[in-house]
Amino acid sequence: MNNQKSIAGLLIGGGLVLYAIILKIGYLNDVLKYLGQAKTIDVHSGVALWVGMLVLLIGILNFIVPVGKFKHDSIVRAPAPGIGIIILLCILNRYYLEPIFKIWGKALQPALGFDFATIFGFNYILLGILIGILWVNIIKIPAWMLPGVKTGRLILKMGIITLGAMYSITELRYMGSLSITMVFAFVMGTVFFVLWFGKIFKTEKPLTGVLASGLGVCGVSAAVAVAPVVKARGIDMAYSIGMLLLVGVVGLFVFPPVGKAVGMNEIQFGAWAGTGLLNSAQVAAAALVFDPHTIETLKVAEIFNITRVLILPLIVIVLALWFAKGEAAENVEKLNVGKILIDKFPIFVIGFIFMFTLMSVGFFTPKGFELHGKNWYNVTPSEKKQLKKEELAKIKDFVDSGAVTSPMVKEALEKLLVDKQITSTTQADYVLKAQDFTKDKELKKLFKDADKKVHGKPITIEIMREYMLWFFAYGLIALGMQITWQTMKQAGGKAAVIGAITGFLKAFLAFWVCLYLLKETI
Amino acid sequence: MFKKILIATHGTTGAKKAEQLAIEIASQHGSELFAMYVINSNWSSLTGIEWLNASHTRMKFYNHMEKDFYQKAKQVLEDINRAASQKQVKINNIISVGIPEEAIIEECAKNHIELLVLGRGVKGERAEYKYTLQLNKIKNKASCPILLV
Repeated sequence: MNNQKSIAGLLIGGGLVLYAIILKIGYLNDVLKYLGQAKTIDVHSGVALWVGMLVLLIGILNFIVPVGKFKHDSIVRAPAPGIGIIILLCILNRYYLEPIFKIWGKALQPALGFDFATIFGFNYILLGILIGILWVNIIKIPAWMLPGVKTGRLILKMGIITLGAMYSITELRYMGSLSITMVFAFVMGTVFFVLWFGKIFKTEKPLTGVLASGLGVCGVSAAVAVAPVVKARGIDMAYSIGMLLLVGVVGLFVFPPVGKAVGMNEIQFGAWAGTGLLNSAQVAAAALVFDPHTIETLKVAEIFNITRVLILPLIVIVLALWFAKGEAAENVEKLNVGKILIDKFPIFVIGFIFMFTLMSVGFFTPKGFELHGKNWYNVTPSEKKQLKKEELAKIKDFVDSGAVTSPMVKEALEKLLVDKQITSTTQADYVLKAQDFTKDKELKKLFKDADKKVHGKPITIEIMREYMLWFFAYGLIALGMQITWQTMKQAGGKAAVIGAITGFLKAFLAFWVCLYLLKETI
Repeated sequence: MFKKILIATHGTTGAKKAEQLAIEIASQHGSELFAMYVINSNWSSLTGIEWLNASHTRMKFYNHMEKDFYQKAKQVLEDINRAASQKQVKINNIISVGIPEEAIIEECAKNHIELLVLGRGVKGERAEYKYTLQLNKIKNKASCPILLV
């Protein structure tokens, strides 16, 4: 906010609106068809038009009246041009660059022997982060864009809150208990390991405290939260944040290809990223790079992230007690446990829980829809969902053959024969289980098809999911724009050594646990 | 010859050498000395990647850091003041927050500085925020001679 008139919003908003009009007229139809994005025109022209109009209106005002003249300019008028640019980048990445990389990946596959775009995860999320990093480090972020870039924090939190509506109770129960066990073990393990390591390396207490928190809990956010408690100095923070960012960024680029190379499923990768990556923002990013379209990995990773954040107040208390030990009374602030617990409680988690509750009571879903496991079901009877006569006959022969020894599975199949379709999600589970009683591939496929026929996602959830992906894509571009070489360059001293060793050990141990001990899927 | 001399310092070994020379020159020429400590405003971008904390946690952190920086700046300036007073050199303290090159150029112009003294970096040593001063920028814009020690 420089109390100057600015033309940036007008140009960017105008550009977005013009782009939406060009799309609507159909000038880009052939290009988008070639890129396999013809179906996305409505959605992305809509986003370009609405965001563009908003940025354009604010841009006109910014052009006439200097920004900073009114009370709330810093949160309303100043961010508009930056928001417009990031939305433009989201569109560019998702609908143009990602498909282009897909085409290049396939084209180069014969020469390289592998599809580099898939293996390295060159999707819109990774491309967004890369563009953000390149932009800030090569051409710098202009002052008029900065307030928009800073909205990334809020938008990411909105992404997580919206994500709350995507979980079933079964998923949350399973992922929750898994994450509490793993996060607690890894956070506590890392914190005490670093405290011990600090003794070996003879690092000063403030630096050790910040490193323990940053390496143990959730990276830079945790280091920032604990700094005042352990009286960290500027140099401690520069060393620690530089190292946390550097190790975190390396992790972000290494985790997804490794996860793919060893064939991790979404739970394994989500748990690995959620435990092994240092910075919480990079957890979301890695999960979406690994699996950008089904969001299943993101769901696992974010539960781990939330658990880490919830543990943060506890770690602040532990480190405050550790710091106070042996320190002169005048150097130690009086520990107020209640205040720390309230102060450090992440408010957005309440939003996440709120969305999950609304979802669980069916607020977002029309009657008949149910999220069961990780799939959406609509079991209300309809002709389209019914199996064909010959399919039912095959199932009847199978039931009559006596091959099914489980009474529950048998009952589910008999009910299927009467209703000609699955009528409850519990029945769906048993019909799928029937696959275990036969080796006939056709029959197995039949049970799967019977289940698939009652799959159905409500449009409200589709819309929310789409919004959520925009929030994450936006937030991660903005965050990429804050990953600077200047910050990573601050890494050094003993902090760099402790960070590199601990970061690697934590990532490796978490990898081993997730790959070999986590075999279940939901 | 030099009525006003500005020494920009962070209290590092290289800067300390420059401090001594600046005091020496000021003592010989009867100059007024300006001792400047710049708190690098780039520092705030270190936490750019941080997004989980509530704003009051971030503010508490910034306040804590600000206190630390000012304390460090005061300590560095106190040292140079002590050395200057031994040589009976009149000294003014400046603590500034900004981009170092810009802040130095601005102070040179504001105080009509006639000589700017800067210390060379020593390998393996750094101020709290690692930063390479771009001498070219200062050279092109400062209106006074620069002495690099």
